[in-house]
Amino acid sequence: MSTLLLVTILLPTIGAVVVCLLADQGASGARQTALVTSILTLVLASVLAANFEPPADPAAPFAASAMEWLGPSSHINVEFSLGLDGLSIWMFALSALLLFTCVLVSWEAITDRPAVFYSLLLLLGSGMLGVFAARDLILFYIFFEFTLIPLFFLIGVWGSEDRRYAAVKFFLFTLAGSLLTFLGLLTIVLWNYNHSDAGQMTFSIHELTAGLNAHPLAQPYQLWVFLALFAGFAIKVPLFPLHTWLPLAHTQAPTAGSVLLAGVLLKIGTYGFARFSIPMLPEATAMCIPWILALSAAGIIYGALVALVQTDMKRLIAYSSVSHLGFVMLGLFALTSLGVEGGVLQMVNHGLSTGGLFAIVGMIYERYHTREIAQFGGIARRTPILAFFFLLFTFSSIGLPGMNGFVGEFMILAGMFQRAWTEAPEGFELLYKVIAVASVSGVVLGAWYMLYLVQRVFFGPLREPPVHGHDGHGHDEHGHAAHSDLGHDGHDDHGHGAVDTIPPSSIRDLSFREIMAVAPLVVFIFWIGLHPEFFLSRMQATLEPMTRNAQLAVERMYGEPAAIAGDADQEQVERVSLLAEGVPARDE
Amino acid sequence: MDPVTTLPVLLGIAWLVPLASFTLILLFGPRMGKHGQGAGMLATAAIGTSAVLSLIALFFVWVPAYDWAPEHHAAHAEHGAAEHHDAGHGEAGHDDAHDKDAHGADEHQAEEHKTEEHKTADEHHDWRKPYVAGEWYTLGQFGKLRIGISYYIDSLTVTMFAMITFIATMIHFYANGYMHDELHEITDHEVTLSNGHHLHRPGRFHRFFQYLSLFCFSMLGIVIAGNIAMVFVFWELVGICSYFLIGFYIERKSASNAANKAFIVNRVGDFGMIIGLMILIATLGTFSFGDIDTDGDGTAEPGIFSLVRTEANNYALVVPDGMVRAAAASEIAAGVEPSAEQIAAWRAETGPGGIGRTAYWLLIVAGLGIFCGCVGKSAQFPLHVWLPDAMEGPTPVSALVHSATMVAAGVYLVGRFYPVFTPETLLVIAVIGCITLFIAATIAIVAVDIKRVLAYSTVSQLGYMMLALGVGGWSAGMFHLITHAFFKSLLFMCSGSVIHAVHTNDMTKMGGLRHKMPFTAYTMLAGCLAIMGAGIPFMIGLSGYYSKDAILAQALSFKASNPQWGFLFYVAAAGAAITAFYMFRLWFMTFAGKPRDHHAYDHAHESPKIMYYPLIVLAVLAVVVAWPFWPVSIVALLEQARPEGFHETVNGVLVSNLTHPAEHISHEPNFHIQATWVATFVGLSGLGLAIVFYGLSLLNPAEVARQFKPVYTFLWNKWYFDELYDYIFVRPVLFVANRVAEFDKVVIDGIIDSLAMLTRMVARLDDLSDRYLVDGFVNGLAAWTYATGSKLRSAETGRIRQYVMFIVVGTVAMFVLISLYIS
Repeated sequence: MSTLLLVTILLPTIGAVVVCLLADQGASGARQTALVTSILTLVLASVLAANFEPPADPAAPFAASAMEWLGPSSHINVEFSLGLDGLSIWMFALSALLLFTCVLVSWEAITDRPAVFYSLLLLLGSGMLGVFAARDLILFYIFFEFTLIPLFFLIGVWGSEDRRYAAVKFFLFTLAGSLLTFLGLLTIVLWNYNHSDAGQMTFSIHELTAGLNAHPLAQPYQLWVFLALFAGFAIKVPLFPLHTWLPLAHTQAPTAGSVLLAGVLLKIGTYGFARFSIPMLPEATAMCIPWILALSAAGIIYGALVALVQTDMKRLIAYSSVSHLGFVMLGLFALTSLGVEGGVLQMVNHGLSTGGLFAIVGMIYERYHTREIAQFGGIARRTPILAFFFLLFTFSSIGLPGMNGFVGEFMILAGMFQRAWTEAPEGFELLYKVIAVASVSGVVLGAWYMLYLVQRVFFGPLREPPVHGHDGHGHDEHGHAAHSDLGHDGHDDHGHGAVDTIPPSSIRDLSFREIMAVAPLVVFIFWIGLHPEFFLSRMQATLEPMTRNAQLAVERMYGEPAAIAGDADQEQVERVSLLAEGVPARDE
Repeated sequence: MDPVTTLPVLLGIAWLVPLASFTLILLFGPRMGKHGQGAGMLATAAIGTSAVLSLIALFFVWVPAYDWAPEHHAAHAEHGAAEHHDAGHGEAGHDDAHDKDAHGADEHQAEEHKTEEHKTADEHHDWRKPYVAGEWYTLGQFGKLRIGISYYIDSLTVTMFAMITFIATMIHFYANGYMHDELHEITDHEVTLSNGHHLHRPGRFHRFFQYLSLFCFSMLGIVIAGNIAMVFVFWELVGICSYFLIGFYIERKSASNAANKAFIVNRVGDFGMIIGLMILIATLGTFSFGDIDTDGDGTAEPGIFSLVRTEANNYALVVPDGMVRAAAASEIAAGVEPSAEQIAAWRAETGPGGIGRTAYWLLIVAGLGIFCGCVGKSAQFPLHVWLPDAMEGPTPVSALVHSATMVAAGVYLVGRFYPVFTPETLLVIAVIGCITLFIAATIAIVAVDIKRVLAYSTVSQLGYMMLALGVGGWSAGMFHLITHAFFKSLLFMCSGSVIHAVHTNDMTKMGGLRHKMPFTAYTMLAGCLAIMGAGIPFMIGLSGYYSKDAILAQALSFKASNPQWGFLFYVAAAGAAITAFYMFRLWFMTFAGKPRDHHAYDHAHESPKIMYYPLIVLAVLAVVVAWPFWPVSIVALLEQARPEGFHETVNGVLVSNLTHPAEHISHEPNFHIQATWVATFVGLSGLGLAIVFYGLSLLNPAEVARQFKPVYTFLWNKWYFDELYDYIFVRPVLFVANRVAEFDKVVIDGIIDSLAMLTRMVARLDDLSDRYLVDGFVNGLAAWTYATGSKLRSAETGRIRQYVMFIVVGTVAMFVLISLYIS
């Protein structure tokens, strides 16, 4: 399995090289190679996911491998080590799935330098897969930055009208944050080096986590380090008010870019919080929780409100991402087992539903070359299959039971309410309750903006924007009928032979390729919705020990002093041993 | 047949058959016969099967097993005693790959009966009500919280199943005729395109039955659900079915608006419901209604009902331990579990600011949260605005979804969740129901759209049910729910038959139609009489006569105990008069008198048999269903499901002098007789007024409307609720959203962009300094080197002697320097 994991991550890179070598074969060569590569990657990733067993020991995750890389000298030991655990497995699988979707949605949309496009896309794929599988800090950071560069070019070269500005903004914004993150991570490494007796500077994430719990960062530093990590991760999420790069990048990016950006890259931020901030810096986490929860709830409502008045489909969905990622953060930082599991599950859910929505909007854009909502009406008539999928992803996004979004939202809210009503830290009871109740309004607003969008675009009499290369002007049902000789007689059309009486157009419904691009997402939407246990049971064993220290820190910080006085040492020992042993997988 | 094993199987299959039908139509719908005609038959057959199974469950399993006469209950005591069995087996589709999960969960506890002897024949309230609860399938377990697909079957469940599936079957038959137009291409006369043409589109027959099947599945899911989370899941599913069915004519702007309105208004209700749910989960850690043994240790884990109504407390309301702990969170040290005595002491602190009072409030908030969801679904004030608009859907949908079943789900849930409601919560429910029934009834007086009159009538009748539940009349409310389902679905189907005939909803264009469509006219008359509650006092009556009487009697009994809340009774009585008036106004305007629109009248015709046969069946049932002299009477069945703790009078805690009298008190002559006379009198007066205005035309309604112009306008505009909500909710939200979007663009993005600009400015300064300072220095250095070099060039003469001299002088100088350095 460990070789398989390595191959899965490297495969897209190899594919990218092949695509470059075949550059003179034209577009079809490039995209076919990319497709084959992405399918292979997906197959391998599925094999990994199918065989995944929740690791009992955090030190030995699933499919673990470790190769010496830099060092080991007397001081530095950077390893090329990979592995999957309950936190990363589903995001890893989702990345592979969305890579496949992205190749298919770009099939005809990309005509300009396709070889370069597909090789960049595949490189991005390697980066995404790697970021979730990396077990070494340096390796993680390299993959983390590695996802930036291909996307920068994807947006900057193949984007819409404002692409350069968007690409630069996206790049600088993210880079600025991630440099601070790097600084914070290095501090962690150095602190650990200075305080452990190993005599070697380790970069292994697991060892750092264990080390930092054995000798926690001293208090003022811990907060500063937390804030440094926060800078990079919160921008990536994006947490309100650091979100403004997102709508721009989404609107300007090519479809594949939007899908991956929403589906995977944003989650690197939340993943970072769950992987580094919460387990490594429990006290600082406990201190910042009220602020982060407040920002998350603000983001939920803020994103939903702004989405309500957008006139551009992609911008609308981009703002809905701000709202949904607010839910993810809310769940993670509620720090109850329900909330954390819901948050991690919602990372995947959002990737499926919003990834799907962006893919469909991309298909609409490909057909009409506009995303202006006002130009559309009743296109369910023209493209019923497209409408069907859009509606499906909409329902997934607004949390209809039986679909994935419901499970995630429900668990997150349950976790948050649990925190607010039974375990709220003293002095914050009211704030927590307000946050919990306020975030429920995201559910109402979410239904509002999405259904309003669906109504305007898909329902009502047909109204289409002008189609390029067809007849140069827009037509709608009446517009056409007014100057056509199709034989309407105005009042009683019974018996007129034509099956469909909308005006002819070059616009076609979804092709088989496009259906194949989104169909796998639908499968997972229902799978998670109907049998979440399959996904949850594989993450529980990892998440429990990962958040336990922060939970203890919350209790220590806000709980009754009497409860912990005296047995603090005892608790310390307990914490470490828990982490070292891991928690046995829950018996089913 | 052992009910513990057979009921979950029978009802489970009855529940799943419509789902199978939905799936088949979804996959093969357009290919089922010509234009998908087979889809209608399939859906009808599916729901028919469910109906048969449900009726079997009711008459051949439940009734023989549990004699409904409470006196006999002791005889059945041996039924209890924790029988275990594996319900997962035999449940199609539930025991495949997840059998392993299901096994641990299936072990469930059978219904419990108390074996104690009854003290007297009258005091029959100390036996536990029979129910069968268990779990089919576990979705997930989080700590002690378990979410699964479970069932809770008592006589209410079985009765609801029979009612829903039976009415749904009738409506399916009817819809096969009504939706006939959808079998070929149709022209939608409601949609006028800008060139004056009407919209022309292909039919969607199979689509209609697909949604209808999904709806039946979801609705039955709400009824059979064994936990509140599952109720919520199906709650949302019926919502989405309703969204699809209201928006069936998606080309009509009004239809898609109404669909959105319905869904979003319901979501507002769900907002409260989620909060209620979350409080329950956070404090109680269980969603289950009944006691189910989930961990297989032989003892059942208590469900919500048992937590709120403990046996130890003789099923009187008690704030559960979990809520007390939550209220005392600040008193409890981390990791320390308070003792039972401590919890009891906290619970007793009911004074202002006491922990017990906080905990009690928590229970109230949870109950009100759940009730919020019911307010949305059952279209109660202030969320009633979506239901009249929902009439945009095809009429069979209005009959099934928006009168008989889905909108009654809110009432059903209040009834199901009854043990958790405190007297204060019940009072809120009563007041909301009272307001709703009055507002809706008054609007129905002036509406001219035949379906909207019925829609407002539905809202009003739902208000009645809520009122009944709120004043302690549990079985009265549930009874009215059942009878109303029969006569209101009948009324809607009759109105659909009329619309089918005259192609308009506008009653001002109807009149005299009874000559053209006698079946429709007289079945509708039966419906009108039933809803009015017609009957010969103390002898016999139509179904509404019994249920409305029960409600009024309970309201009267409540008034006697709580004189300050007496208006509840008066409004209910007034509402009964208005009901009779607007129903007969509708009937007279439609069927009696002279035709107002001869074009419509001439084209009118009786509907086909497939449409009026169901009308006849339902009309007969609307008359007889509530008769108390059947071997199995509805009242007796419902009595069996009466929630624990409501056999006795209960008193409020926070509101002083609040008493909910036990329901059996209302059967006593002083209330019962008075209520019957009042009901008969107000019903007849409403009928009389309708005859005066519309039957005999002794008074001109238009004249009266002119005289009461302001009132008329106010009612005509539906109390201005739509406008009000537009001004106080929709516009402010959009306004705020726009401001927030601007803020996003100007401020947040502005800060980022100005940061970028600042950086660029610094960079420009940097550039300048780079050019003139750094580069200047380097260049200067270079220039200086160059200049020096140039100057030195003059020394380069090419003459050997000069060079030798330089060398000698240099060497001497070096020696001098070295010697100086060494010394």
